[in-house]
Amino acid sequence: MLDLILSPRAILIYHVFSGFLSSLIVLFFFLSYLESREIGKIFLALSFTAFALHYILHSIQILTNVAGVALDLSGRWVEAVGLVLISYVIVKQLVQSETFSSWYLIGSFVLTSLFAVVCFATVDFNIPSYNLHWTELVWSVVQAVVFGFLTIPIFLSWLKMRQAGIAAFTVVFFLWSFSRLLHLINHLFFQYKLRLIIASEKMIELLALFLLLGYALHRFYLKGEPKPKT
Amino acid sequence: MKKKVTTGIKELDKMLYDGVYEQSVTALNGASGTGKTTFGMQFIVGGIKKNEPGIIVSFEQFPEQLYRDASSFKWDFRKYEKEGKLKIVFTSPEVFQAELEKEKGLIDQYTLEIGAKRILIDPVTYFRYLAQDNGSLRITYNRLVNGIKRCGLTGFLTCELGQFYGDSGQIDEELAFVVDNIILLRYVEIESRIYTALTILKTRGSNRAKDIRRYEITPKGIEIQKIFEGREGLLTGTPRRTFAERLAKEFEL
Repeated sequence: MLDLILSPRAILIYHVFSGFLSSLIVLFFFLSYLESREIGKIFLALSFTAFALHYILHSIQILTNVAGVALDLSGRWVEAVGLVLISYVIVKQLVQSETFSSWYLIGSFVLTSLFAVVCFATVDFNIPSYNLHWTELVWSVVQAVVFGFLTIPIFLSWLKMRQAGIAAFTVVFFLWSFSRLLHLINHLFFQYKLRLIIASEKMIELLALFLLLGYALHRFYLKGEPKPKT
Repeated sequence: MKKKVTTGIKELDKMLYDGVYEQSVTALNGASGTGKTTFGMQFIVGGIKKNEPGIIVSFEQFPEQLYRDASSFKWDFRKYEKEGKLKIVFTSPEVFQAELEKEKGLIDQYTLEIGAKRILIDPVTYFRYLAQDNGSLRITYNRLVNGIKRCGLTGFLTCELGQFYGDSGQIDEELAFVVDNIILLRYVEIESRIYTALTILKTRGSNRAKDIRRYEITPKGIEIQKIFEGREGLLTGTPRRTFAERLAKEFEL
């Protein structure tokens, strides 16, 4: 079973499919923006665009196996941008200060870009077996911490509002932070060799995307329902 | 120990943990049009339904106006008066004050005449214009409240707030100290609509709900609805969304 899940073809399908699901979520957020004109939805749409792009870059990397380092690092940078954008939406509402949230956005972009540049400058470009141990480590820690921290305010909001959208994102953020934690554990203690954890990580990420898409479909189905006559 | 009596509004009774104490005095503070008089009339009607006759003292509205307003809620004040369950007194604050201070004044007489248990004074704001300074106003209010209690009545006093919106800190301080309960009625603006909100600021010797609740004046009288969810700063008149509400807006598809 693990052989099947972790076969190169399955990994490729996983990345292509995740990219497709992320693109669909982008579409739903964009449609929702057109309806409500809430600017946060544009940021969420952009964030999922970045995630979709990250999956696409990974798929290209697997398919071509050419210029692996550049693609891999670009994929990571794009994913980081997605993370910055999604966290910006929450930070902006949390601090309610335009100045702080603007600086947060700019600062995070600068930091992630700097990180990508440093990676480019320091990794071994002898394709295909370049050593990304420390970038993997830093990146996993950052993602696990950011998603973990974002889960807290969003979960507290769900406790207050009991609203489906927040519930879906609470679960998604939790799943994402959990999968990053698994990645970190695998990396630190098993030198990324424990195949069960690799498979779990991927399945958890896929589950999170499915959950979000399920919520989006449910919402749009409800909107399409004829309203009761008053 | 004194028993509690209904305010005539079921949800308000719940918020007050079974109504107000007998022979207590409640101040209803609100801007024009918030329904202070309707609250007061419903309090009187609530008593009449429980066989507790009431007196309405009006400084502004003629009895005819009160009959008309009450009839829009299907309360037949004329009938209640004929049955000896209600007495409507239209007078001036000066006369009322003098009568209340007399040993066997008009209010004592009416109380004995119909066996009144409740009184609505609408509005007490006029006493402010009669008083020379804050000290004498405090004494006037004290006499008023004591007079009501001496007659064995449970009272509702309406009190006008000047500002429709904005800071709610202009509740009559002199009155606030002498009454047993304070109810605040406010206008609240949310997304280009005006709502009315109610909160209980003070209850002497009793617990109370700390909620800020929506209410509406319906054909059946005052109807208290749910609390304002996802909003903060309601008493300022210009509430903001809470963090949870803002996040819900962003993440809802």
